Amino acid sequence: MENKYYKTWDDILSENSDTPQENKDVMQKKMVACEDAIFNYVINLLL
Amino acid sequence: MTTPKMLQQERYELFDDLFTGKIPKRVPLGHYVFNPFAIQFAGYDLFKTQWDDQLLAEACDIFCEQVFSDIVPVGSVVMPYPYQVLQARSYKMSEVGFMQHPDVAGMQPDLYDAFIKDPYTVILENILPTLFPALDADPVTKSLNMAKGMLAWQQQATAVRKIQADVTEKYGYMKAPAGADAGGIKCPLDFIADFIRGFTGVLNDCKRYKTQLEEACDAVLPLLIKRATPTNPHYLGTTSITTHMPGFMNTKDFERFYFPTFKKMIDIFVESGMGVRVFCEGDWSRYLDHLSELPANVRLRFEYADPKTAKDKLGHKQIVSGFYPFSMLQIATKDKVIDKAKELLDILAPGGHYYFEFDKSAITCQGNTKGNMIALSDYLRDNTNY
Repeated sequence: MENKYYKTWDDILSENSDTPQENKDVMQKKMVACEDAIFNYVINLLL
Repeated sequence: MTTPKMLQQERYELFDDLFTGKIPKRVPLGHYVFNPFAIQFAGYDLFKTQWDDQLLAEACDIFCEQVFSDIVPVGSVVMPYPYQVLQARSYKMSEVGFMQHPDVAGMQPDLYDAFIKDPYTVILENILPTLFPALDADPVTKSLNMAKGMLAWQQQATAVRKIQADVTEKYGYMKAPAGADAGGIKCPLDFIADFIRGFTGVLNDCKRYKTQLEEACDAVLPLLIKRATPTNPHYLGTTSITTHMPGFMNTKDFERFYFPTFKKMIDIFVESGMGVRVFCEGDWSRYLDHLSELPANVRLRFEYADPKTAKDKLGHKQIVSGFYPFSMLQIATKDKVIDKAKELLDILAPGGHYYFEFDKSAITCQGNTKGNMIALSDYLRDNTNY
């Protein structure tokens, strides 16, 4: 999903360019899950 | 002695047969009550218990102990906590303790073009602050209130999931594979009708903003599919689509604005391998031929429609349930309640593709409801072997 309020993994990487590569390698799952959790919460508020 | 694990295995087989088009050992029983019903059934205070996870767990356990069901029957609720935090206009607690859904619109027609282009942005920037005044504030207050709302939602959802998990193990309810359930969702037109344009607004839009409404349904479809696709799609899981508008629409408008994205959504869900349940709320008699176009083994629960016609048209391809008038439990004798079940079983059970559900999910427990629900469930457990 392309949206300024929903960060893809590539968006997250570009915003974390000063993060050590070793950290980038392991943070993907939680960082992406956080985006999905907020997205689901927003949609849930309208269900 | 039958253990909860043995019951769970038996129930797994019942639903595995049902959802794959085979005739199960007996008619599966799919009670589903809202938390306020379980609270009243248990004799607990409606206000206090909806805000106290321990009391809610006790009330749900009392219901599960007394009423036989093959699926976990409790935990369905509109949770007051997050809506209270966000000062919601979309759901409000009534004076007697039930969450009410007034006719509200989070967006006016002048935003249709922006919504069609980017619905998620319009939801965040315009619709949420309109529906939730706590989010219509200075940036810091808004951010804090958004965080409070999400925290409230997660705490409440975690509490409800624990209640469901505990009674599932204790009473041996059917357990789908992990990650196979995605909760409830709306199809695009109902999603737009419920809180974005309102019931009244969307019916006006069918006449005055036809193209925009069609395009808006297409625009939100990917969002709803993303939200409702479980992590582990499996036919034994359940994603429930509750429907609202068809009973209020004319057939021509239904065919233009409702059915195309409704069907597309279900086709995509089924193609992914997930289990889909549709609650056909209101009277769907005019739409049975449309429903027959849906994929095989989609579960269709009916509120009002002629059961024989529905069985003839759908009951050999899809799976039907519902029809039983829940309101009867409140006023009828036990004999009459069981006679009604026999009447519906004679029509709906032959050939399988059927499980027992009421015509609506129970909210209020009054009159003879408690005793009749226990008696009816026991009857169905003992007298519906194929």
